[in-house]
Amino acid sequence: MAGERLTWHIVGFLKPYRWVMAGAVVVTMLLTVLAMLPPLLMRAVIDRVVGAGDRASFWPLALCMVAVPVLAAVCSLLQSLGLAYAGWRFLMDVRVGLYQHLLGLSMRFFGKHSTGMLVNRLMGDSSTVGNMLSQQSLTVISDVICSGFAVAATFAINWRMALILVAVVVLFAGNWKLNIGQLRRVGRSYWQSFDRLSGGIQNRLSANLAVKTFGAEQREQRVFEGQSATALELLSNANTTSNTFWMNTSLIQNLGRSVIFFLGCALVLRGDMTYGDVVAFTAYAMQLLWPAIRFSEMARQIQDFRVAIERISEILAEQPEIAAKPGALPVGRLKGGVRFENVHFHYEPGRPVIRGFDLEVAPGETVALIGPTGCGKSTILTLLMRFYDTSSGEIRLDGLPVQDLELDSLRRQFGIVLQDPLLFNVSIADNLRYARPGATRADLEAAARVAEIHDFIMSLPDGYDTVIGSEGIQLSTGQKQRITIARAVAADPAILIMDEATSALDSESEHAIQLAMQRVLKGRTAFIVAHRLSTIRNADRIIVLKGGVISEMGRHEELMALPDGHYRMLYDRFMSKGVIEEDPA
Amino acid sequence: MRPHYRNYPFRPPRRQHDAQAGALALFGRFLRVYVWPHRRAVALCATLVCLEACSVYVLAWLTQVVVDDVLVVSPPPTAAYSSARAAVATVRVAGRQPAESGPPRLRDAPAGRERPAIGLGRRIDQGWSHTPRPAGAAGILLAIFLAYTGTIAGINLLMRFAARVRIRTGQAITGHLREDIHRKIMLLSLSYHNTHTAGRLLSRVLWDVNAVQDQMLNTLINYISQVVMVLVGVVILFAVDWRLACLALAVMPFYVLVFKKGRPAILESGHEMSQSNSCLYGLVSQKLDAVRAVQAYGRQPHERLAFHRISAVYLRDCLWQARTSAWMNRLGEMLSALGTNGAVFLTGTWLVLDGQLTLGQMLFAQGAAASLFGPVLQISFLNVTLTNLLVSLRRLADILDEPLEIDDRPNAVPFPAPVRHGLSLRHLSFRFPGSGEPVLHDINLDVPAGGWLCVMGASGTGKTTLLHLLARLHEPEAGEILVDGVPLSNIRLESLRHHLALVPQEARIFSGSVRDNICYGSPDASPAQIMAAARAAEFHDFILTLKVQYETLLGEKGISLSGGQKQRLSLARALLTDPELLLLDDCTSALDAETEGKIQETLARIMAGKTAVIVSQRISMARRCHRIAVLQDGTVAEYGTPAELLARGGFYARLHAQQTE
Repeated sequence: MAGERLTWHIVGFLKPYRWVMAGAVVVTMLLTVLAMLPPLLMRAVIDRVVGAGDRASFWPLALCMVAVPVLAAVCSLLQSLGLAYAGWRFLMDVRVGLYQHLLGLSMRFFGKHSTGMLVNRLMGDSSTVGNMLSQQSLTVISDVICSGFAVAATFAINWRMALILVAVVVLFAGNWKLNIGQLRRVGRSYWQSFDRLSGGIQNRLSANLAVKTFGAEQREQRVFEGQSATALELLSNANTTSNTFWMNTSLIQNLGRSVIFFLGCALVLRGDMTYGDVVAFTAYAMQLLWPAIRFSEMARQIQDFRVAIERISEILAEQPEIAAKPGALPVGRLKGGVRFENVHFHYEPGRPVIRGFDLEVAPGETVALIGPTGCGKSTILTLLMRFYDTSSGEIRLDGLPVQDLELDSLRRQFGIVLQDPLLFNVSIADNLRYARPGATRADLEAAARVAEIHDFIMSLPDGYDTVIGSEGIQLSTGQKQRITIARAVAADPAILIMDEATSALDSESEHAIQLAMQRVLKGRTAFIVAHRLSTIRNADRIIVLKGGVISEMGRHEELMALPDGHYRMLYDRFMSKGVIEEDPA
Repeated sequence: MRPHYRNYPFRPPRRQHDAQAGALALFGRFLRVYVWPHRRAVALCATLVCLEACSVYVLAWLTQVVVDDVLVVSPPPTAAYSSARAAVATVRVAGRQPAESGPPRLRDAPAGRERPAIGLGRRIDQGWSHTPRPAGAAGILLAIFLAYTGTIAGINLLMRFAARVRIRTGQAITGHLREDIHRKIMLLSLSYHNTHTAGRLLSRVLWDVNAVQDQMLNTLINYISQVVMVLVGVVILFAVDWRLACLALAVMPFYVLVFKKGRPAILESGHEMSQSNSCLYGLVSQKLDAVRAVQAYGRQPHERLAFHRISAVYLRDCLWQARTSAWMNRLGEMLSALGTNGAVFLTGTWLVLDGQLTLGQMLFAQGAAASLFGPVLQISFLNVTLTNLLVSLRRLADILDEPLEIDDRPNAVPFPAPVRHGLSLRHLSFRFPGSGEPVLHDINLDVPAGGWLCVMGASGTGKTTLLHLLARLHEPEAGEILVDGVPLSNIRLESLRHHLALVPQEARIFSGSVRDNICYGSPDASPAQIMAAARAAEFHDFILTLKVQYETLLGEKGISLSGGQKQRLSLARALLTDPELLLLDDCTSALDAETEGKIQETLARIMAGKTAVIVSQRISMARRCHRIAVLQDGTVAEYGTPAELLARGGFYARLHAQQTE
């Protein structure tokens, strides 16, 4: 089964640490045996030294009683150190592997999965798996050895008493079986109500402006109090249930111990046992009962572990759609000639987005794409950057099919500016440098000047070293857009892609940026998507897309000359309203 | 164990806080406000837990009675003892014979029944019946068994009850604290919310509150019981035998010292770990959010390296902590084992052999000594537990103590509805806390009642801030806003917000149905009113295309809306409240021209006679307004009727030219 194989794939991350793990297993066994000795020693002291007055045995026994804890401490130290080493390193390996895998996955994958969920898998689930495989697995081993030894020892001391002990273990199992269903149910209903509570707060906090302007604070407080009370009531339920369970457990344990102890004493009175036997027996009984108690805790952890490993496997099973072809060409800077040959594309089968797109763009040309929302403007550009592969047809860069180019070197040809500015919480300089880490401060400043943001950056307290997202620094959407424009310019790309890059700017600043961009655009190919006509009028070629095909193409004047042209219609409307975007609905 | 600093430069440093300052006052305050009302329940819990702690000693004492008075396990009388001793001496002299073989005389000496070999194949020593067992030994044993079992069952019952009380009390305290924090967060001003992310506030309301409640109650109850347990244990030890007591207490300081030595490193590494961990979370969520940019610039190898570096820091801290805690715990375990099993047990045995102590007393002392180690450790780390608690407490106190920037004045008046004279802004200035440049500077504007003012200007000139000031979401730094001559800050907040409606640029929706969302501002609107508002916002037709129309769920579990749809919803929401004063913040920017035109016409119809301040980039909207103000660098650069501004040839005229040509 594929799932099984993937589980083994994760276990495979343990391979470098197999010797450490093997050592830990050996030490654990040793440790378990050592832990079994003190009751025997105590029995010997009570029976032999005190009971029989055998003073000669006292000193060797005393030596053993001192030596055993010391030896146990050494073994235990070795075990902890080995486990910590293997466990944490394993966790790091899994995380780095998973992160690398995630970064290579396609946009389609990220569209389907929220960031929060992915972060939880990367950080939370991996540590569950790491913890289970390193720490808990040894607990299981040691528990199994421990109970095996304890069972053998108790049967050897007195088999009838041992049967009573078995009965106590059965009682434990019964208690667990009886309560576990209820425990799960109340736990689940609590977490559901907790999710509702936290979802509610999140919603209220993010829509804080609306809450305030409608004066709904009191109302929201009442809603919150209701939700909070429900969640707390359910939490109380869950706590009470688990408390009952633990109280039952401790009652069974204590009563079991007292029955065993006093029966043992009765046997001593009858002369069938010594008191030392009773002490040892009781100690072993405890050693058998603890794993039995731990088992219930363990069962839950194993459940968690299985869920976590499944969720990680799911991500690892996700294949990067854009697979690197063996023998792909690494290329240096290209000239920027682009050619689309009969490109077809669909996100979902049966709903084509691009239907036979043909276009040849010479190096240095500026091409503008316009058309209604959903006509495939942005899709064409993502295909060009190979975020997706075409369904059929070919895209060539300087005559080379994009599939044949090494992905990283292909992507380095582009400088992109998207509608929602994606900036990182590092300094502005680092943001600008993101695409080209080697850029000098002068390069960055030049780029910032093109994007008309240099003066603003200089007005900040730390200038280019101001960290974005720190307190007191609030960038407007327009300012963020300008920083992303500067970032794309600083990348010094062969092809510049601007997808609604200036939508949040006022016409005035947009105009200024356009003038500056003309200098930058020299010698570069550029694709511009916009819904304001003023943005695209100076393009070398304007392409009107409709339903995934080119409906009109040409310079502004040429398109305006078409009597019933779509462009002309849009332009006329723009002149009266200021926008040309059509609502698809 | 030294920390590893090599990779720390790749991670922002951890800020150090002065943990102790004002700690006592803080504890006192939270105890007074949240725990004191439940003092009876807490006292009850503490008493019951103390009882439970002491029951351990009762049980141990019962065991002692069994051993000494029922089973009568004791060494042979002195005569046998001295002869045995002589025998041991001979054995020693004779050469190292194994101790088990023992002197043969001892085996044969007592008179007793011969028993078969059982157990581990070892012949059972019959014990020395030099002291006869009491006559009704079995009966006494049964009685003690009943007492023992009864104590266990009784304590178990009491503990169930105590747990219930504790759970209820904890629930009440959490509820109380959570409600206070949430209320405060709801009341805090917009600028507070802008600088504190939702995620951070959320974790305050949920996790810090839980931590405070758990730790505060547990610390309180457990510490009382532990102190009682230690005191009783020490008394018992001394009562049994002062030498054993001294021995046990002599080990204790070393035991505590081991943990005291290790603890700072554990704490330090713990802080470093959580810092690295939150860095990792931050890094990962940010990069996965912007994975498009990462891939577009082909920076995966770099990102992997960055992740690897911080992971390595995290790993080293983890290993550091694991090493330290392994050493500390093992040493501690060894010491406590040596102390109880070694020192107390062996010395006790020797004393028993000498006849100074009975076996039962020795076992009792050993049990008491063993149960001292845990509580002593806990008590000696009271300050650490409190420091952890203090972190959460301080975060909560920060929120509770945050001054309410915007609140009702003592003699606030209701909003003067309907507005007769209009709005006037006098010398209005504003800057965001913590930033140098003022956003708005000396703004003077008048909006007559029923008039529409259009605010235009480049991005970042403070248009949105102006609207937020009008809605009193921020408090101006200087100057004032007057409604019919009444300063805005003198109007009751609830009344003000009831009479105005602000439609923000970025519309937010609540999880819930479309209908719930539209009637958010006026929860008791009739369906007809809701539909009328949706029609006015050109949203009705779209809603009708949905499967269950107005009952369609939005948000997390429902459908998601496009930017334009959200804007229309938010406009409908505002129109439904039938506001006296309408504030529109470029709320049609994501709409197509045709819809926008229709909305503008509807607005002109239904808002006729109402006062409005409208931020817009569109000439078509500006033309409908009575006055236009153009903002530039936080001041009013142009002001007048559309015709006047067109004639003046400034920003507005340029915009006009660009958009109409």
